[in-house]
Amino acid sequence: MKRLFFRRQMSGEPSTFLVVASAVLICTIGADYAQAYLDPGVGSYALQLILAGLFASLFFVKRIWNGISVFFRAVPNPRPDSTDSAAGGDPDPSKSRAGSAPDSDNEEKSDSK
Amino acid sequence: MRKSRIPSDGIVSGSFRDPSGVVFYRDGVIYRQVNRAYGECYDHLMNSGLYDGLIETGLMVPHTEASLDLAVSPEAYKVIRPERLSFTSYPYEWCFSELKAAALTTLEIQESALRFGMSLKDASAYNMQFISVVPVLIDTLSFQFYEEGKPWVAYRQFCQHFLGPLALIAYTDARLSQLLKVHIDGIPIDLASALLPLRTRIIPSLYLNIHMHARMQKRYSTKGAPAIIPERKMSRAAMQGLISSLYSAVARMEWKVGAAAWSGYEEENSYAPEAMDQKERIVSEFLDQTHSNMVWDLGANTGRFSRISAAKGFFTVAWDAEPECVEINYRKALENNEPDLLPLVLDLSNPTPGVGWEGKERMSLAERSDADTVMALALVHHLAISDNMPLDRLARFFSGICRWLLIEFVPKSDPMVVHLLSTREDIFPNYDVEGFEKAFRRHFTVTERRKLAGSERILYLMESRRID
Repeated sequence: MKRLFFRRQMSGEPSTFLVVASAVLICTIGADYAQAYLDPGVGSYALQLILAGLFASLFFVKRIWNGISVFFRAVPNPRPDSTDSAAGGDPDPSKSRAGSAPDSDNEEKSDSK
Repeated sequence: MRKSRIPSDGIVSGSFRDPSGVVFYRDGVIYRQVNRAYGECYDHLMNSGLYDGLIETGLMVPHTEASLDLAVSPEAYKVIRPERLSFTSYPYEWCFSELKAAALTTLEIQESALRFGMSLKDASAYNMQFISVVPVLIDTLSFQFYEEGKPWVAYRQFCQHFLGPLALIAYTDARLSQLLKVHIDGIPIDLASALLPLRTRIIPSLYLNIHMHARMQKRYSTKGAPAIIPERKMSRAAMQGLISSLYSAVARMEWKVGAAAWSGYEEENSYAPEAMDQKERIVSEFLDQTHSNMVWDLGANTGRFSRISAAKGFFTVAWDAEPECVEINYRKALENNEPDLLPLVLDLSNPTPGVGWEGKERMSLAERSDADTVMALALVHHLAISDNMPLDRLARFFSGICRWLLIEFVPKSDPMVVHLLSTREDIFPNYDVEGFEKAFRRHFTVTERRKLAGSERILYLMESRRID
């Protein structure tokens, strides 16, 4: 069976509790509460942007820890001659647009104001 | 062969929400129309190598392209014919490990899609179906071009359809998976957050993706888009980190089925070994007399008799009301890689209704009942005595869902029935062999009748009188 999750070893990954707990405290200080519940999608969208720095950091830490170039290997990478017009096709996260990984501390603090 | 209840022509009522295409039947064959608006995405999926990779790794259902003449509307770009599924099941019928497998498959697909310049626009559990014992993506039109900098548009749906329900089963109560029946787009995150125990707030993945997620939704629900949305970007690494962290969170989650369940639910253990061997032989012989493609085992327990049917190459759906039994059954099926066995959760006294828009988006149990043979072993006494179901109603129900019925009658003298009646008044004067046979002969022709050695139990093979 080629599917990864049935044979994947989940051990050996670093504990992220302290990093996450710190970020959570920063992000949630000053949160206020609305009574109505109109569009839950905005919050989901914003949450990802706020935590983008954290997720990027975790990804790099995990890559270093596991010593792998990509997290999953279920599907082979695109062919080099792929005529992909979209942004994709490059599996190397380090080649992402410069500066696109936000500075999590600064941006999280600014959002919580 | 019994006539299938699956429609032979028409648009599938669950597919109307997607402007990218539509699913329809033509002469009993299922097709998917790809609309012109989705043409560029479809071509990229097919030509970039993503489709081939997903098929090769068994993550998505394969399809072939069909004639455009089959299209149901003028905006058609392509018509494809996906491989037909043996049976359509829904997340509220899955056990914990089935839902978990579907969640992990969704994340694997998303990670693969990112490497090919695409991203899942939906993370709906209804887009996953089981082929053999593993889930696959059935919605070929779920992909859109990945735009670097933008968050995952299906993140909320993933949390509502997978992460929240899995956490509720693992940390609160397995029965809460039935909330998926009430909330067709997944369990709302604030509801999941409210129902999860306090200790889940110290689990980083659940704190961020459920509890903090719920707070964020409340915070921005009336404020409109926050300033950070146009200002901030989510890099590719951040997206991969999100998918990777969700994968780890789901993969780590376990539902511990109590040790007592493993023995306690094996009601079959109440038989003497010789009687059990004899029952297995009779079931096997009876099944050989049917001409089945599809067998339903109702009250399948952990699947002892379902496996006899599946081993014969009959696709067997093993239904049971207890999530623990279904979980044990699925883990066995996974371990043994049993391709013709699908364990699912069902309370037969309150079967799956049609849900969604007009009650038609997700089919009821009755609409999906195209079994040739139904097995109802050690079940009648539960329905007749525990649920007060008159025998005639039972017979009529069974005759409506199958051609052949393999059924066991458990008399009042049996220890299991004695136990059921020990705390209640016996209001079942007709519950005896004569009453049972009289009720069932109205709807069935009895072709075999065998008494189990050392027991008062009787096994019947019947053929429905009803002709569809």
